[in-house]
Order: sequence, then structure tokens, then C-alpha cells
Amino acid sequence: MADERKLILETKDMSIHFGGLIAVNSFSLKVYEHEIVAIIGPNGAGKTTAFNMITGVYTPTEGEIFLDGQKINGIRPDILTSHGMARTFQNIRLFKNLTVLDNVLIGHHVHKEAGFFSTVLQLPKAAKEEEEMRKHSLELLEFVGLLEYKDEIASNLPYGLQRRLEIARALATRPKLLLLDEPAAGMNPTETEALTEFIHEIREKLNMTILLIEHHMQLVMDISDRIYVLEYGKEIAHGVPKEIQSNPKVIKAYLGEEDDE
Amino acid sequence: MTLDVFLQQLANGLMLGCLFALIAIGYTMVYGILRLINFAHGDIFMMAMYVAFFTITIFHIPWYISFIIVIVVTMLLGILTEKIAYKPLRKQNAPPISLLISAIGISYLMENVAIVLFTGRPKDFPQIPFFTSMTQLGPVRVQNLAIMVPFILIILLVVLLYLINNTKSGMAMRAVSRDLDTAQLMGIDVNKTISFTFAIGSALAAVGAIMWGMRYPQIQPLVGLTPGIKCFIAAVIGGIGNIKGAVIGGILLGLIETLIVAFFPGLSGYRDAFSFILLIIILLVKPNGLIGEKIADKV
Amino acid sequence: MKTDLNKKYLPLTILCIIVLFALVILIDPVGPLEGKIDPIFGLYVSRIIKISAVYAICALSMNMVNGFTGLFSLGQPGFMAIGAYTCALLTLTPEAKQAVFYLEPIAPFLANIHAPFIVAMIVGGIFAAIGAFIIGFPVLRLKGDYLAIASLGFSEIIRVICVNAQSITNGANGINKIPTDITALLIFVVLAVVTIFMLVMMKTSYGRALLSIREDEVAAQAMGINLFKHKMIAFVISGFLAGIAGAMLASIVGAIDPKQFMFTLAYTLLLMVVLGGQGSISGSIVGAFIVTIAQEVLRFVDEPINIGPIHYPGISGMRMVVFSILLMCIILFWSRGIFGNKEFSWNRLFGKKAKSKLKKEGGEA
Repeated sequence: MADERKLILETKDMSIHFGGLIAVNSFSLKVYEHEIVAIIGPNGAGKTTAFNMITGVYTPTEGEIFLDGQKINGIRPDILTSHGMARTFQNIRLFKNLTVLDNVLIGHHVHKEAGFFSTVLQLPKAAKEEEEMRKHSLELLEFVGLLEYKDEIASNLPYGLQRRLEIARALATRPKLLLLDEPAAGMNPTETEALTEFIHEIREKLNMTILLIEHHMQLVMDISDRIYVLEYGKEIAHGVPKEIQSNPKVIKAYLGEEDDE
Repeated sequence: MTLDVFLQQLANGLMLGCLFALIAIGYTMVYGILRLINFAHGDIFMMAMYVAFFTITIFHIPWYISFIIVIVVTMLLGILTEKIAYKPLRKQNAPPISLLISAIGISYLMENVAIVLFTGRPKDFPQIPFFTSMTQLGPVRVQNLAIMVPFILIILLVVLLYLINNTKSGMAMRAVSRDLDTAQLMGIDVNKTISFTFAIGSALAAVGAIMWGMRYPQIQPLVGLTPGIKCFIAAVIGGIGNIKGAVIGGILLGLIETLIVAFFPGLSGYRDAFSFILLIIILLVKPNGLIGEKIADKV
Repeated sequence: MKTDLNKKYLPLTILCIIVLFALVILIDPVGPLEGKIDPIFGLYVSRIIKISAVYAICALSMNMVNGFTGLFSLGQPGFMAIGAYTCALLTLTPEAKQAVFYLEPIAPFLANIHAPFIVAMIVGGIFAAIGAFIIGFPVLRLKGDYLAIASLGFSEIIRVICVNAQSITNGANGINKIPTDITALLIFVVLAVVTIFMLVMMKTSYGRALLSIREDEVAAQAMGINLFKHKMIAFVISGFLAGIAGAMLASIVGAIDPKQFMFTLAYTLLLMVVLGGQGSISGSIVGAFIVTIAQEVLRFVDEPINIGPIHYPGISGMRMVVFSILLMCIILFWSRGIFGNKEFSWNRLFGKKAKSKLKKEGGEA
């Protein structure tokens, strides 16, 4: 590993206890700039919990989390977003009754500089800002291929496009790090393939760093630079996809799981 | 303040607290199951008082029989409000805010119906000597009621806890309050369980209403409003969804309210504001109430 | 209104606005017309129209919090009371105050202050906004139903203070002799300003941020929206609007007392908002007019009626029963209300629907 690259996200011995249960135990993770890193593991391995600590939903009981060199333990999710971290949700949480364009526009609000009154009174600076937001949103929609649906109500989009919109909304916050929570959940093979391509494109064209949790092995193996494997809250392996595929511990942990799917 | 006066006030506060507790249980049970403030609960309480008034004062039915009639009618009324105001929305999978508006709507409806049926003129609640005559208890002179109410509360609480922990219906109730959808999948008749919950809550409110009427014997259509809201607050203070919490919260609220007024008579006009201030403080310091569990949001 | 203000319909819109304001002036003549012509529909109607417009502002205030931001607040009566009492105390002349406060003299610092209505109204709004800001700190951290109860509680606390602070509010007797010189024109101008403010706001980033909180708090926060700050913005503006509405109400009615600001008032406002459609500006306004006018029209059910041989004795209070049944029916069977969360538009009125890309390319979806 070329460790001269810039560290975007780092967790050091991150743990969390719920009562007596240790959901994540001393998990250390590094994500470098321009990398795609995946966290995998069987159900209940603590992936989502780890994700929730990184995104500020939970505060770790022990350990530290750094975003771009800055300690972020227990910082509220909205502040994290303003510091350059954006996420999607496993069960798609779009603003369902709003239009596609509005969803993306809301993603821009975090960088809004004009205050409430200058915005509502449409003072020149604020009006210009609104205009730029709109322009940038349309560009973003074009990039993700949703421009033609900009005036549709978000919940009317087909499932695959809703995923895409959720990612676009996250990108609108101009993140340094994009976190994807099971982006392929509920997708059919064609949609998954399109998604794989899409994630690649985001990395290449937007120079994005991506951390994802995923169940879908094929997707993970295709796009990840490195993979961390969790089981019962502990890391059991990490490395490049090839190493993981042949790691006996991982195979053992996954045997039952593979059959199920 | 002399010790005698203090004890007298303590007895008053305890009685008020026990009455709050009886009503608060109904709120907490419904909230536990539907995650809904049953705004109509205070009006169920009001209706129970009117039923008692009619059976005893107008139809001269002996009080012990009347009480049974009051409890049964109130139970039916409780079930009916659920069927009218909440069940249709549950079926539509309406957002929680609609349920809350519906709760307010049915409460408003009952008040207005009561105004039409019983007029706005206050009526005198029947006085039953067995409960309302005075007893000298050491230095304190109280209504018999003040001695009985805590016992009635304890007996009902024991019965209720037994019902919830040891019977099939009780088990269904606990299951539904934990996870309504899963309970349904497991074959629990959710509608029946919810009706059962409303029935019990209303029955307790009926008992509370009878005692309340004998203590504060003026009834009018809006009589349930203030006690209703205070009892919901009591349930929140104790930890909403938790029956013991509702009892503790109710007693605490009754004592605090009575004693503050006793110590600072100048504040008596502000009496109805105490509970709200207390509520805001509690929610800030201990958002889950004194003995409540945390109800977390899923991400 | 603003979104599809098509060039095509612009003349129509302007015409409607002119007609509306001409009507407003005719029902309550002002300026050179004052005293020259009588209100065309009589004083009773002009009073109801005035009250409707004030309630429209209240409904907009509630819609801001309940409809746009998805919070459930019932604090409006409290804010209205703050506005109404402030206005009353500022517009009463010192002599009138002496006459009104006969039980206990008015607090000295209030005895001699006097201001014109516009100033009093704005000060009332500001005080209500300050009240909202202070109460917002504890209550806006609460979720759904807790917020409902806590805001209701706030409103009750204000009312209890009004009953007890004898030297400031004249207690349960309330304050009368409030100058009633407010004109329908002024009320409608304020309503128009508030409406335009809302329409513009909802088209800006801040408006969308409020909507996102309504749609999904967790996702909104993940998108970087400071929940507390934005809820506070909505709450304070809503408080301000309720405050000025309260002030106007005091000036229309001429007498206020704590009973007018019972929390049942919040229920009436709720009915207006729900009927119009939660989250719709046009809806709140239409809802307010319908409900206020219906409350007057429904008075007939309280009166005896004779239709041929059928004699209906007239039951006092029946009006409110009908009213609450209406609220229940709307909630149970028509929870979208008149406008849903959309706004009025000529296109929709004339039955032209925007085409959906998804439906056109049916195979895609």
C-alpha cells in the first residue's frame, strides 16, 4: 500500500457497547483519497453499527474517528456533512413527496451562505447563490442521468433510479467522502451492473473517495480497492479483493450466508 | 405552616395524585400500543362522570350498581372512540400526525356533544355518604374517600399488572406494544388487543372519574380537559408506556401541585401551569421520564 | 401561484387581484370613500370577512410549522394572546386604561404608553416571536406528540398568566374599549404580504430545508440540515404571524379576555389548515375563509327552524357538534384537504395537467 496518499477517513480501535453487548469491537479502518473501500460481513456483523458511528448517529464507546485529520467522535450528522461526509441509506430515504430537482437542491443547502432574510428578500447575493445552486443541481442531474425526470415526484421513480437520486443528493453536499449503505440492496442483476458502472464513474469523474457496506459479493469484488471483513463486531480480514476471496476465515464466515442468497 | 396543616395538605395531595395516577394509566397504555396521545381520554373521563350523575341522581339506582354501569358504559365508549377515530386511519396507514389530529377531533366532538346533551350549566355530582363523610385521622380530618383512594389504586394496579403479566390478553398486549406488525404476523388479533387496551384504560378512568366527582363535585362538559392533560403529563413524567411510571408520575404531580399551593398561596392562580412547567423540565432533563425506557429511532 | 405564473394567465391573475381589492374596499370603505358609501354587504358581513382574513394569517402561521416543517405545534393561541394583549395595551389611551382597569390599577409602566395600531401590531408580533424563541429552546427538541402537548402547555401557561396578572392584563375581565379602527384594506394588505412572503420563501433553499425536515428528519440531518436551527426559524416566524394576527383580532373585536385564547382555538385553526390541505399556502387561506364563514352560516342549526310541518326546536351548541363531525370526516376520509400540499394554479383549475415523463415512457417505470 502506498501510504503517502492522503488519509480521508481513519478509525482507531473504534468500539461500541450496547449494555453488555459489544456490537463493534476495536475496529480500525483507513480510507485513502480516491479509494473505494468496502466493509462486508454476514448479517449482524456490526457493519451498519460501524457505519452509524462514522456518520455520527452513534458515539463510539471507545476509540477515535478522524475525517481528513480532524477528530469527529460524537459530532452531529449535519455538521459532519458540512465537513465533507455524505451518505445514503440502506432503505432509501428520499424526500418522497418532493421533486427530483428539489431533492438535489436540498443537498446543496448545507453550503448556503446567505441568511434567511436575505434569501427570502432575494437580495442580489442570495439570489445569485440560489441561481448557482439550481445550475449546479441540473448539472449533477445530468451527470447521473436523471435530468429528464427533474420535475417528477421522487417516490414515482423506479427503484433503481431512486437509488441513483439518493446518491446524487448526497453528491450535492460536495463531499470528500461518500458513504453508501448497501447501495445494491433490492436491485436486480441489470440494475446492479448499472450501479457498479455508476460508482466507478463517480470515482473517476468526480475524484470521489467512497466507503460502502454491501452484501452483494460480485459488486464488492468488482469495484473495491480494498475490503474489510467483519464478523461478530471484529475484523477478521482485510486486503484487496483477491486476498479476501481466498481467505479461509472469510470463506468460513460466509459459507452459510452464500447458501442463503 | 403547622404540622397539622402540612399533614392535611399531604393527604389532599396524595389523594389527588392517586386520582391522576388512575387516569394516567389509560394514557400510558394507549401510548404504549399505538404511540398516540389519546386526547379523548379526558373526555371519556368526563362522560363517565355524567353517566354516574344520571344513574345515581336522576334514575336513583343504588350507587354500587351504578358504579358497575358507569364502568361498563365507559369501557364501551372507550372502545367506540378507538373504532371511530383511530382504526380507520390505522387501516389507511396514515401518518402519525393524522392520528393525532383525529384524536383531537374526537375529543372536540365529545365535548360538543356533551354541551348539547347536558348543557353547559354545571351539575352537582351525587354525594354518597359512604365515601364522602368525614373521618378524623389523628390531627387530620379527611373524607373517607381520601383513605380509600390509595387502596383502590393499589388493588387495581395489582390486578392490572397480574392481567398484563400472567394472562393471554396481557401477553398479546405486551407483544403489540413491542412491535405491532410482528405481533400481527405472529397471529395475534391486533384489533382485539387494542380494543382490550382501550377498555381497560377507560375502566380505570371511570373509577377515577367517580372518585374525582365525589371530591370535586361540579361537573360540566369541559371538566375532563385539564385533568386529562395533567394526567398525560403525569404519564410522560413517569415514562410514557410504563404503567408503574404513570402511577409514580401521577402521585408526584398531585403532591407537587397541592404542596406548592399550600406553601405559596399567592401562586394558587397559577396552579394549572405547574404541571406544564414540570413537564418541560422533565423532558429536558430526562426525556424518557423517570423510569421510562428509551424508544430509539431506527436508522 | 408563483411557479406557473404563466404569461398567459398573468392578466387574469392581475384582474383577480384588482377585483379582490376593489371588493375589500367596497365592503369596508376607506380613505375618501369612508362615510360616503355604506359597506355593500353591511357591517356584519364586513366584520366576518375581516375576521376570516385574520384567521387566514393564523392558519398560515400554523401551516408554516405543521404543514411545511412537519412539527405538531398547538401554541398558536398563546402567541395570538401575546399579540392581542400587547396591541390592546399599546392602543388604549391612558384615560381608557384607567376606566378599564377598575379592579386593580394598571401597572405604572404601562399606564401612559400609547402607540398607533401599526406599531402596536408589529410590537405584538415581535413579542410573540420572542416568546416563540424562548419556548422553542426546550420544546423544539421534542418529538411529535410531546411537542403537541408542550406547545399546548405553553399556550395554557400564557392564558393562566393572562387570568392572574391583574395589573397588566386586567385578569379574567379582559380588556375592552380597544380602538376598533382597523380597516379591511389593511388586513388584506397584511395578508397579501404574508402570502407573498410564504410563497417566495418556499421557493428558496430555506423553504426546501423545512420541507425536507417534514419529509424525513433523519435524511434531512444527513444532508447537513441543522434541524434545530431550521425548526426554530419556522417556529419564530409562525409566532410572529400569530402575534400580528392576534393584534388585528383585538382591533376588530374591540374586547379581549383570556377565554378567547383557550386551546380549543388551536383546534379551529387546525381544522382550517387540514381542510385546505396541510402544506398548502392557498389551502390555509381558503380553509380559513370557509371555516370562519361556515361557523357563521351554521348558526342556523342553533336556531329554531320550521320547514312546513316539521319543527326543529333549535339546539344551542349543535353548530359546534356539526363542526367537529366535519373535522372528523375530513381527517378520516379526505385527509389531503382541498389542495393537498399543492398551490392554487390556473392550469390546475382549467384542468391542464403537467405531463409526466414517466407515464409517457411507460416501459421505463
